[in-house]
Amino acid sequence: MTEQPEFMLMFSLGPVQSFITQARKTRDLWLGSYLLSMLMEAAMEHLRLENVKVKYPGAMLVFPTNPKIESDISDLPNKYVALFDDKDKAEQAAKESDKKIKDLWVKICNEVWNAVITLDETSEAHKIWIRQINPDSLFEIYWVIVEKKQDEKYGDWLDRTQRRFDARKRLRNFTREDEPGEKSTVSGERETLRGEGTSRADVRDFWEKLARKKLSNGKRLSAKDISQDGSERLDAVDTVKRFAIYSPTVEKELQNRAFPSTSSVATAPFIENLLTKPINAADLETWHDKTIGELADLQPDAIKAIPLLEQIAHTAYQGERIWILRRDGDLYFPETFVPHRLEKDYGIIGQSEAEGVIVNTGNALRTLLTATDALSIPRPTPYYALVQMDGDKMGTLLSNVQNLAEHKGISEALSEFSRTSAPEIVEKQYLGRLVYAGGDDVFALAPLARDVDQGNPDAVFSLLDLVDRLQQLYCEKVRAAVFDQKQKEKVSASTGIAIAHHYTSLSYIRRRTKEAEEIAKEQYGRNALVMTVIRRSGEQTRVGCRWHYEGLDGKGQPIPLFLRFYQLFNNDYLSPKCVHILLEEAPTLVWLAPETQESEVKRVLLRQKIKQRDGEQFVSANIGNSQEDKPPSDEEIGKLAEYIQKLATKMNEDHLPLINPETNERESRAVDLHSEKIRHGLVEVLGWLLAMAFLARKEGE
Amino acid sequence: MMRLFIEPTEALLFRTGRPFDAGNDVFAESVFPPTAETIQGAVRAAIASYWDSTRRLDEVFKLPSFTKLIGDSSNYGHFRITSFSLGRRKSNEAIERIFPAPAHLLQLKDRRGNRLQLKLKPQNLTGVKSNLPDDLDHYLLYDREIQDKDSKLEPLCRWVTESGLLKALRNIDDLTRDEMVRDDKIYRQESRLGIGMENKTKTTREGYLYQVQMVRMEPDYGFVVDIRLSESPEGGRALKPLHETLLDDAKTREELHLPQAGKGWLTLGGEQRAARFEVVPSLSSTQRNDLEQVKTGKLLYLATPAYFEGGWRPGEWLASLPKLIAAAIPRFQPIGGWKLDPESSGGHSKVMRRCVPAGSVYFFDQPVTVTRPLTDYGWQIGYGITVIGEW
Repeated sequence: MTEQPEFMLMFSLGPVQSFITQARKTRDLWLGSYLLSMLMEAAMEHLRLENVKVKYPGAMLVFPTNPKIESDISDLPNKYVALFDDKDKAEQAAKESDKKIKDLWVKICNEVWNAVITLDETSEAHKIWIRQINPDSLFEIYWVIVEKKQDEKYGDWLDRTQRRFDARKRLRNFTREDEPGEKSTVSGERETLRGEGTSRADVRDFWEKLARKKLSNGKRLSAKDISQDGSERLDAVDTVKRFAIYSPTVEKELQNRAFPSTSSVATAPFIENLLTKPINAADLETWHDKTIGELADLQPDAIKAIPLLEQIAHTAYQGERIWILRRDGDLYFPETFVPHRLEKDYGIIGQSEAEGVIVNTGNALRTLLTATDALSIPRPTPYYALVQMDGDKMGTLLSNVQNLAEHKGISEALSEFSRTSAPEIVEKQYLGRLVYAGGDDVFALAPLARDVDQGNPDAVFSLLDLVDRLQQLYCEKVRAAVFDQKQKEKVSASTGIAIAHHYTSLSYIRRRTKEAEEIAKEQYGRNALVMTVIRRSGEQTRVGCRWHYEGLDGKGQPIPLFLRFYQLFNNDYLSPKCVHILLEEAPTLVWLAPETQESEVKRVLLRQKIKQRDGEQFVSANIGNSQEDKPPSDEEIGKLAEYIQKLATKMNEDHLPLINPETNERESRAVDLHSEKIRHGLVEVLGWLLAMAFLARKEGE
Repeated sequence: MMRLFIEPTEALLFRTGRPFDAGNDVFAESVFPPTAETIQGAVRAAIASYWDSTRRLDEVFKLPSFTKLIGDSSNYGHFRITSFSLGRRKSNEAIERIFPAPAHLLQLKDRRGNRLQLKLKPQNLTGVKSNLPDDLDHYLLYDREIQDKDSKLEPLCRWVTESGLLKALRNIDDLTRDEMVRDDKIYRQESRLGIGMENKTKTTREGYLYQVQMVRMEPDYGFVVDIRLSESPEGGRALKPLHETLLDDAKTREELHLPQAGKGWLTLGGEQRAARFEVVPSLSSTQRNDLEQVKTGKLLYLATPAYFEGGWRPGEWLASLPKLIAAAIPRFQPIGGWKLDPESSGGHSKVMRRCVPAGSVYFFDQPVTVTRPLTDYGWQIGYGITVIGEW
């Protein structure tokens, strides 16, 4: 940069939430997110270091520092900040970003149309398509350029620009767009693409035919692409997201075009055991033979959907069982084997063919599950998790930077975290898959726990472990880039988790995950974790806590304590009945003295300690024993009771109830676990233990 | 105006626009609050059910005397909804209206949890360029300087009482806590598990399990609807709002044949859940201190969503409106619905329109006077109801 920068450009692309959340399949979620990253990459292309000299000498991209997508993960934020020495150049750059986003979007849309829809341009579908893909009405692009004041500090300038940017976004101007007729089964907002007929039956017929016709490359769409029975009817935007992988522009960017279904994420721990445990070869072979044809996913990338499973499959049994990764997780659930599901999800049409699959594959599944039961492999769970992590008060942190160098340093740290640390933990150390990791945001799918021996203390074995490691690494990376000691201490992240049945609406779960993350920030004061368990019956349990409380022992901090209970439940060393008993007692217990509470908790835990299993007497672990996968001694139980009580007290001190508007006094704490109000610390801790029992699959499936 | 207070007695379902087919779909969600379309449908069906209790609804909707008064599926006749809001019964039995919080009300929360109420005001800035629409030259910024960078700015609340709204729009005192209403005071979500049935055999169908997220309103909370009848039916099918003479309260009640006691039942939303309604006693105009009394000011607040041919603002700028200098408008709200065929259980999906959400605020450089709803669609049934204020 030759002269001092005087103009700061802040630019954003939206709508992020609705564009991503309107998803029926996990693939919609991933590709929606990836498309936004591609569009942002295009928006910043002219501001890359190698390009900026040509058109914008004197300009500098500050955030993000690396404006290129590095992998198959959507890893670019939807906002950029750049500096210019000339106001006109800044404006020209903003307008160029706007244009490049729209040009790329239209190009991808055209490619999807030509590859998948391929109807005449006079067709009704094309008229709808042109109306709906119009980037001027679809995208929300906001930018602001703010001139630096004389002697203004960099942090103040950045803060002022952010506030002007917020002011710009207060008017979310939009154009009129009327959507008549049948609505998309994904967005529910826009008219579905259709032929001449407008009734639901006509539209269904249109999509049934589309799902079965040949693509321009001669191949056919599979049931993984779209339901074969016309039950999925998409609008143009949904169609572009769903079939973006058929656009050559998108395809060439993606090394791995597979993304796991919610069922496959939920069953990943079971699959890990199928890959590694000594299962009867004949039973496996039967399973293989009865799940070929339409039931197998023969796409080349199918085995890569969950990277850690692929890695395990290549090494275990010399890679002989890698075919297992071509079976979707829903094949491990008997409810898949009903005619309409087989037609919708696997394109199996006709009563006799469906009945054949129901009998033969159903029997093979029963045989397989008998074999896995014999090896004590837990049955597949239908529950999985969506995880959303977000850095706390990033705006405040940036507005306090001392100079441009610190701002760039933080940008680099964020980039390092999202491109290296997050994929390493979620995809290489755990059976998860990232949807998005950009800036201070991470969004991922993950199974509840790995059902394997927990010999390695550094490995990530459960969801709770996963989210804790993620936030720790985030704080570590960002703190290292912050100059001021006080500001370093403020670096933290909040995480929301929603655990749900694999058949529950994905867009609903996505919103509940985001809501959990917001509650972690608002109700639990940031630096916190909130987990919502959504049972299929609709019953929900929501619990939250800070990552860390001052003054508690290491093992008495929330995550280590909850993880220990997870182990105790998972290994059947402790019955989850203890939690139910204590929750029943909670309305009285919360009013008793701390030592009385602790004593009662200890009494109940001791009574519910399982002393033997199948006639085998357990050998207890001692306190401080590094081998934590052992039954608890009475001494440890006493210590756990003490930890529970102390954590409850800390929570009471930390999370103050809201003020009641009628009385102007703080509301009373709730003793009901399902209350929306702030709960007594003891109830909150017991809620967490109940959630641990759920993760260990001893509770309420 | 005749004011109805509708108090649901069951969990309600106000479906999103996403189609739901038993067997294919396993999940349905509810929006809140219901749209004007839903409320007008429920109120008109209730009027029909009290019109002639010896006939079925579809038969009443074929009676010329009835359709002339409140219209049919393509016409609203003399029927008008002039206000729609949430409401709650206070301890003295009075009904208090509750409105979406104006989008220009914010609060600043500091590290210690202290809250400071702020209002956004239009300001002309130098040294700033953006992609705001070309004719807008003001930015909405706080009405006082904020020094503490650690403070967090957030919307004040989602709902405000009528007195709170009056304060906000008259630009006087801060709202009291009682005037700010949280979602959880009004309603909660309730999950229901259902299963498809085989009509012939009356048995459950395998693979037809589904989950529905419904809404249960808290006791004493409901909806407040102001109903009027116009003297002339011409406006019943007019796209643009007309100046009309409206009948008085007593005449309206007499014409509509509502129960003598002023209380009755209606069904609301999907699955036709029951709700009680009652006619709220009118206050004389001298007793009233309500929103409708404010006649002029430089700010326009939308109490209900509005649809404009120009998207976020009217396609044709009304001659009575001065220059718009700024606007606080959150993301558009898509509103559609389902048009029931009264003779069968079928119907079809209505047009989904992008609407300016309730709570949006427009700022002008001169005082504005608006006497009709501000919307290019649905003015007869409660779209585009505005309240004037100051900034």
